[in-house]
Amino acid sequence: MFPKFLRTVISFLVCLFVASCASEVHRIPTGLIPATTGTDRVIVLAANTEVAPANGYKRVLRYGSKWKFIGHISQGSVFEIQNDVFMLEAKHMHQAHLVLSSNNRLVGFFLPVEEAFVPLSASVQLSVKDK
Amino acid sequence: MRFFKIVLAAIILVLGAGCAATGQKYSEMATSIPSLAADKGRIFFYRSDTMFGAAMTSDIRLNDRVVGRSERGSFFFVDEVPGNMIVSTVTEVEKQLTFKLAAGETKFVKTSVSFGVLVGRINSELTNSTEAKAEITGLAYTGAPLKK
Repeated sequence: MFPKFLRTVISFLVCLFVASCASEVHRIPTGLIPATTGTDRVIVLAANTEVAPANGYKRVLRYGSKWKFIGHISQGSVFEIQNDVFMLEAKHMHQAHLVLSSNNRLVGFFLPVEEAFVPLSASVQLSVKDK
Repeated sequence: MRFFKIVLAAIILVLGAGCAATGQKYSEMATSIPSLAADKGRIFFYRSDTMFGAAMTSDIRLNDRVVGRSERGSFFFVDEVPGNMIVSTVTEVEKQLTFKLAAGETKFVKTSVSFGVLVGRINSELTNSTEAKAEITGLAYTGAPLKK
């Protein structure tokens, strides 16, 4: 019915469309308990660190970036970037904060608008120094 | 082969054509931009003056309300009640950006064109103030007339 070339082009476009439809970042609803003490704590990353959230694109946490403690969620302590921006990207873009468990292990991210936790496939030890 | 050439030409035309926005440059009007009310936050939207995807435009919606358009070489700003913000643009797919806006805070949202399947996509992302201010300087204001 269709010429072979046209079928090839249509097949290619369909494949491209399916492949280019990123899925939503995997997230678990959770609420932030704002910090009442320790809000002056700021950590500084001592090395570039590449991280990959579940279903999202890889991000690099930059050397020298400063993160302020703002509260807790059930998965850990939440730190917001200072004087810069940090986002997760999957199907859409989301402002995101770091979630650290004890000993500065990054376990995932907190999305403040969605009020949700985005886990990492595997937790990552961050090299940090307190400012 | 002829069909392929026509498709290629159409794609190049869609991605490459289009004029830059016209209006007063940020550098010429920065001093006339009103200061931000204490109970509001401000969001600057801008798009660099680049040729790639120049003809592609989209309404920019903020929390389901159209606040302006993503056009090559343009910027505008809106003052909003603090809270959750969802920015969306629609071309062949809808792309969203979510962030929180606090009182007294200014945030910068950059829109840009990326490859899509047929016509490309307009994405939104937050940018830090240093980078944004450097880029906005030469862009044209396309927002509502400023009150004098």
